[in-house]
Amino acid sequence: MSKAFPYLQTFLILIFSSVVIFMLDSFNLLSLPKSAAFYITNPISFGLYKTSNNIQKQFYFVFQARFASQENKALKEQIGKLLSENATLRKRLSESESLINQQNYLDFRTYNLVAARPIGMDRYLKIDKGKSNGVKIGQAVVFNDNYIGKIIQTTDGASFVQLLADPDSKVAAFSQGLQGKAKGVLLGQFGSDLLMDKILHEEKINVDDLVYSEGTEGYLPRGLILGRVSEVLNRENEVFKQAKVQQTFDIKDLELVFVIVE
Amino acid sequence: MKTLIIILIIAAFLQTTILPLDLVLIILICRSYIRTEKGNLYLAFFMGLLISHLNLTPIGIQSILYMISIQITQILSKSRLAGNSFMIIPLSLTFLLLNEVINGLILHQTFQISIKVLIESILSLPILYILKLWEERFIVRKDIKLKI
Repeated sequence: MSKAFPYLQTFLILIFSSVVIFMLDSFNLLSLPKSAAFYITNPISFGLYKTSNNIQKQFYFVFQARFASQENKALKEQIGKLLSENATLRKRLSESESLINQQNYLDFRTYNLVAARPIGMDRYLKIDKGKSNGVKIGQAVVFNDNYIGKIIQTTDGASFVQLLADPDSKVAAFSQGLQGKAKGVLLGQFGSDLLMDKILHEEKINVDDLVYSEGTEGYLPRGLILGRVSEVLNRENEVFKQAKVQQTFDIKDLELVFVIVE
Repeated sequence: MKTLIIILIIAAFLQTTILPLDLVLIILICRSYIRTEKGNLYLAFFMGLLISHLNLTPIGIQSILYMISIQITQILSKSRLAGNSFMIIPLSLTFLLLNEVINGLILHQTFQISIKVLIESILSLPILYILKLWEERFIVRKDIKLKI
């Protein structure tokens, strides 16, 4: 028996003791020793619990830092996308505003205008509209009521615009001021300045007078703004007067330009 | 034995505060599986009292459960099957489940077989090896005598 059930006697005594303890505990007779034991066990349990919480917090912080880093990266990407989207929307808004503004200057019913985006700028301005959009060589490019240049080269999807300031540009122009009117030819110069030449001495021209297109070229409507007189070069020994003209806007600031195709 | 008592006390505090695994029962089962001793029953008795006290359950019940588990393990450890260390897994699984069920019945708690019991029973295998190593390598027995 003792071989089959080792330490049977001890086992039974301990079982009996457990039952007795259980009975005592059921009748609340062990409350005093239990409260005494709690004085020892509670601080240990609390210390362990606190330590474990601290360790968990540290691990949680490490985990959170890793998670935050990933989240930060994702958010940065998201911000980048949103900024890009915002820029696209702003560009579209600006283009829409340009289209609406253009209608106030050159009527779409009178002139058949094709809106084009500037896509490059070297000597000539490159625009994203070409033959497939009805753009042809010699057509005028405008913005609001300002003349920008004329098409000198075109392909199916893009065209080059010869700007007013180009040395090869030559446009019949007249200036209009409070004192009178002066006719001449506006020539492109190297740089941003334009030169209005062939002005008769008896014609009145002053600084800040606006210079308009004469419209004798055929492709260009009369009355488009070409620039503003910045200096009058009045030499007595010369046959004609000259005036320096500055453009009223910077071409690089434009979102859209319009080609007068008809 | 002193080391084992300290380890068991630490395990008791751990399992009642931060680690919801019945480490004490696992260690006791593994210990009685390796070595049949009267001390195992005493350890089961006192550790049962301590666990009951720390878990705020009626004192005595846990001791009975622990002692029954230990006594059965000691009986089974003499069988041929006990030579296979992997037998500790189903053995501890049975006792852990039994412990959970009886505790649930006594404390009127809903019992459900959770992954916790499986983890505990799998954990019993490395604990068995550690205890075996400890008992064989670091505990000097009285019956071992050097022949000069």
